[in-house]
Amino acid sequence: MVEKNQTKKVTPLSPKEKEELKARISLAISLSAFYK
Amino acid sequence: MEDFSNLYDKHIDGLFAFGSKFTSDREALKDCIQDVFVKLFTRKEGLGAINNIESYLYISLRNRINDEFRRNVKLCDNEITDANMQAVAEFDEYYHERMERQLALTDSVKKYFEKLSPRQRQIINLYYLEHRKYDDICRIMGINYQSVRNLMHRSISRLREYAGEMQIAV
Repeated sequence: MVEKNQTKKVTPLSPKEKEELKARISLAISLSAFYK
Repeated sequence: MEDFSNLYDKHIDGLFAFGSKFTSDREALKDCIQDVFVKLFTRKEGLGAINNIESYLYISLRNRINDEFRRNVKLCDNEITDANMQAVAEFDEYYHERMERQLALTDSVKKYFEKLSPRQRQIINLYYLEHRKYDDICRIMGINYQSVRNLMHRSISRLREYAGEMQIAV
């Protein structure tokens, strides 16, 4: 049970997750710039 | 895109750790981090107009999570309010640790600077080293104007006490 004012433990991003998120954001920035 | 790559590599771990203080939904947190970077890199004004990109990233993420909380109450385990500053205080410690590495404090000054609480050290950093205005500090620390003034006063008083003990003028 999560008490008030206390979040559940979140494990850090794995290297794979970081690379995936980086690629995703990079693409989103490119698309946003293109459609602007 | 090289700027993005460098900035991302430098801050992603810190941003994710910071965001996870407020939510345990890692996918939603990734979305929020994405929004922050996209907004930053599609600004009309570019990056040049931002004095401190690191502060911008953390404050934007906090605001983004808060916005998401208002839209979808399931995202946040804790709403980010003045009354719920525990997680923000933890961020202050992260922030201070990074800032402190950047400071060229002498050993003697550093000795009594370290006796201050994380919040006191942060406000001294923001005001004296980053030359922030009180309004800016209110926003960064998430407290009101009077609280900033009180905290600043207590921090300076404490520094003077320590300096007095060490017979050094502050």
